[in-house]
Amino acid sequence: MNHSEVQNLLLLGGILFAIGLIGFLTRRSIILMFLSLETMLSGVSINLIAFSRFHQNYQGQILSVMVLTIAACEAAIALAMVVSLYRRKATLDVQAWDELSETILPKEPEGDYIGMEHLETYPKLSPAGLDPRDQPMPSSFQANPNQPTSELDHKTSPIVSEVNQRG
Amino acid sequence: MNPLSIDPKNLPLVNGEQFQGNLSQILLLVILLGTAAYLLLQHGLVKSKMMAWAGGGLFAFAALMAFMSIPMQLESVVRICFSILAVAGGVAFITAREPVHAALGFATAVLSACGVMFMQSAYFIAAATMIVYAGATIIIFLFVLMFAQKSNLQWYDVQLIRPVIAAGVATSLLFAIAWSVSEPGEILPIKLDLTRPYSLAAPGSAPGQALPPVPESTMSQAQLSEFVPAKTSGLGRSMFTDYLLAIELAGTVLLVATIGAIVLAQNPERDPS
Amino acid sequence: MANLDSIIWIVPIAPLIGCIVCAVMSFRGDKHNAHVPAILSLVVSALCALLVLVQWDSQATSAGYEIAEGYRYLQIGNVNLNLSLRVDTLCLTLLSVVTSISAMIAIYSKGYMHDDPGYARYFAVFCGFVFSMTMLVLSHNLLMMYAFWEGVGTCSYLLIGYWFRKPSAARAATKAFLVNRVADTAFLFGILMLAYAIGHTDVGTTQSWFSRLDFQNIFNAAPVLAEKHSGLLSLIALLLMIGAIGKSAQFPFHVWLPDAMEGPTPVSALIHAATMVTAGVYLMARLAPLTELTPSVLITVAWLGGITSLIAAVMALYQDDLKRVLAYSTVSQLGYLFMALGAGAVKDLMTVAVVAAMFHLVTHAFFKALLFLSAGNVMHAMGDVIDTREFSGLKRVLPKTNILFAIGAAALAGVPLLAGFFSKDSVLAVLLDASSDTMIGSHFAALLGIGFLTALLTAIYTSKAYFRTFHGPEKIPAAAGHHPHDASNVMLAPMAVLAVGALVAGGLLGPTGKISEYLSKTPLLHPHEHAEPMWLLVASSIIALAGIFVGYTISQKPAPAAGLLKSLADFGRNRLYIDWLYNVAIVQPMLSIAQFLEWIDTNIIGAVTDAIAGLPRLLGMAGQRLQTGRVPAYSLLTALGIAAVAIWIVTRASW
Repeated sequence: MNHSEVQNLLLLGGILFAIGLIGFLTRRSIILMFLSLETMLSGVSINLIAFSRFHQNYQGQILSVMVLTIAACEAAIALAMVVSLYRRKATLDVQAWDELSETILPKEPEGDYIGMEHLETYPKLSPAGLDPRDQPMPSSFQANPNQPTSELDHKTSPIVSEVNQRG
Repeated sequence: MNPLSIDPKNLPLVNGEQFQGNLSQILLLVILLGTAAYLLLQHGLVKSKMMAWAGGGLFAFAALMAFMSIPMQLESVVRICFSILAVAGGVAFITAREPVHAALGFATAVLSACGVMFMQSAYFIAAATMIVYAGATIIIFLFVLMFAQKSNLQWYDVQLIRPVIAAGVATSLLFAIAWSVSEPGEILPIKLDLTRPYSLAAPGSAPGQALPPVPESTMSQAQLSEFVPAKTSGLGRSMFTDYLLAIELAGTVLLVATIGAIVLAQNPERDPS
Repeated sequence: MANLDSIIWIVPIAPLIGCIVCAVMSFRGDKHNAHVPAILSLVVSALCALLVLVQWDSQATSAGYEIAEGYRYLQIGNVNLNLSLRVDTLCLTLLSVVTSISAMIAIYSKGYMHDDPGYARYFAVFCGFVFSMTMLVLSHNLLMMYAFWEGVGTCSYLLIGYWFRKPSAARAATKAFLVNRVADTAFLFGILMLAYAIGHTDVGTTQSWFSRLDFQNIFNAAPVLAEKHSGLLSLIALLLMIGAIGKSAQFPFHVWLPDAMEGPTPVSALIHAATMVTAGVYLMARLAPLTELTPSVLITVAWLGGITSLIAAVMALYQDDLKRVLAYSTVSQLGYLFMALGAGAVKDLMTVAVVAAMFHLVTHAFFKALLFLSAGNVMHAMGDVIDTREFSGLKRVLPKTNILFAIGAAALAGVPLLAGFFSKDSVLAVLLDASSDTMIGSHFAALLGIGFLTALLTAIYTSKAYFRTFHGPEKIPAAAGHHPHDASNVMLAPMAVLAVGALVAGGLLGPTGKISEYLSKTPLLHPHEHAEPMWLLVASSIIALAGIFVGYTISQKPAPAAGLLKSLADFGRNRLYIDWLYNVAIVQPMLSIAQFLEWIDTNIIGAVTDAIAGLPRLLGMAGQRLQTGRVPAYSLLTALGIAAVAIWIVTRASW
């Protein structure tokens, strides 16, 4: 094992660590933040194992076992906390938990990501009981692009009432 | 006195010269990676396809640089492939929009890292990491994701927090790592003490006393450079002799963490009290 | 009896225990039984005091006094703060009066304060007052006396402001406290200067500050001081005298006492008539060996007393409020005491002066307490109305109170053979004695005239108040309710005891010479031959009876509508405009200064402080932005720090 190899391995560990750091700092989903942490830890593990190999003893591997152990513990605790946090506010957004802030900052406006290029918009069927050629569609039947969830959750009472009115 | 009383001059490794050729490549690699991260991350996850292509191209160029820097042997090529796969998985992980995709990217990165570990003869660690991370952790994470994730994409899955600053910080940290790796430095390669293979601690030395001198290695220089602490049984023996207390404590920590997780995850409404 | 030392300690300790128990009860426990520990402790205290008083003859040592060692409060280096009691005949006299009258009034209070929400608090402060007063009387040291002097002042403040939700009561309490504060400051300066001066004599150089102020030590050092620094001693005596006249409500500090009648009537009876206000008299009597060396101060005291007694009597004449009449009467009678004490300026007359003052003090305590309690009965029955214009002819409604008030009023007016008659005569006799002095006798001749005039006025206003209240056409205010009734037996019984005292105390103590014989045993008071001329007795009898007749006549007539009498009445009713003068000359300028200082405080000092306080706030606002409470922000800062340290480490060689 020569220096170049160690160098490459250390660099690999560093890159994994940096990627994990970027992920931890930028992602807003709590679960992805924990996954980023695990990435960082695996980078550290590679680092330790490279040195273990380089120094030709088991110390690095032992430390790596420790890292593994603590990572497992951390994952267990973190997931338990995510579950219990999720029970209180049904969100995985880490920014939602800012009750300890010095001044309650104004909430960042939730912009729409629908407009972003990569997200396709699928054609929507007209609600049942309506002639698809009946244009323009009544406004209450328009799918609201800002609330993609509403179609499933809605009880569709406006439709029923509208149909009843027509009848 | 220095317990590791080995004269560096007698060591087989040469310092200095070998690194200098790699320095510029390493710096280039770092800068390229930072740029790629910036391109991929800016203003939320990949805004345009052009940016994604640009980032991908830069990444490929960096990978090519990495390939160029190594001798063309099978082992090295496989290792570099694993490394590139690991980095690519990591990049995919942090740039994926869907959390599930991100988890898959993470699995790729960790499994590739395990491959690298495997090639470093850390069989046990590689296997354990595979089982713990790629197995258990990923499964549980996915489970929680399914439990908590809304059916559609949420704003917080897509939007990022200060991606430019984060990329800058991580790049500068990576730069520091690369710089320190490229330095010849004073890293002493401590050889395996063959009279006591599992530990550096010499037997019978009371605390505060000088260690007895490390005896001369019975192996030749060539043998030493080929030596690998290969056997998993050796690791096990070292764990349960020299590091017994630490291992037991780690087990206790695991137990406590289990209890803590159970307590934390309890539904307070179902609490009988 | 060898254990008098321990018995004398029971006298102050018992009320202290009662105070603590009542204070605890006021927070939790059965508030309506708070009178039990109070009355019990006060009766025990009174019995012990009387026991010591009676046993003292056999106990008397050659020194004439005894120090009951108690509790070493503090020891720093050679400074020992000992709480010890000094027992001699002078303090035993006052001690017996204080404890027995307070026990009587506590029993009366059980009936009077019944169903008051602050029942336990009342008894707690009451016992606290008795504790402070007994310790004041028994102090062996001037500084210790000052401490308990302030203690009685505090209890007085608390009791005047007992109904603290009433604005007038709160204001009266503040007024009493502030006026006393002015006088007490002078007193404290006097004490400190005295300690300083004693330290510069042969007697006191080796002693600590505290033990220099032991009374015995003061008496030893006083002649030396008088010889060397007579001016300084006069100044000290003057300052001490200011303290005394402040507590005893003498001119110009008399303004607080009438307002102090805002407190419950038993409190007025105990504190503001019988005991606390006599503390000033007691202080002057206690320091008689010192003050007799400064005749000029004593003459000042006598004149202040004379002026006070006269103007207070005039003011009492024109008050409509029954309790205020009694309050001004108290001020006037205290002026009498100070006149008597001032007569000690004449050589060798000090003992007689002290005896006369103490005699009048004792009798006055009995009949003034009786009068106040009777006024309390009237107030009780009339539904807290105390204005004499609102009621009259109460003798049928309140028959027993009528008799008791009559006894007290007769004793105060100086009807022959009652208590006030003998004691007032002894005061006048002392003044007569003093007026025969060749050098300063003229002062006392004038004061004797004032004394006679005051005696006449006293008889007039007393009888006026009595006849207006209890005789004439029956008139009952609406606030009294349908059926006003006389007080219960628990209130009348202690009054009966006081009435007996008012009837016979003078005759028993004065003409028989018992009190002068007893008090003469006080160390440093030398017996002095003194005889009361017969014509004085006759003259004062005539004055008293004439005054009662005049008062009766006035009470039957309506108030003068116009003319000289009207303006005089207005003058008296407005308290001779002294309160108005104080308000204009002292209070308003002080308020103006206070407003000016407040302006400075808010606009200059406050502004600077705010500016200084704003600086950290600015810094905090800068840092506030970082404390978003969000995990990513904190972790970004951590990562920044780590990256900076890493960069620094790898590049430091090139720096």
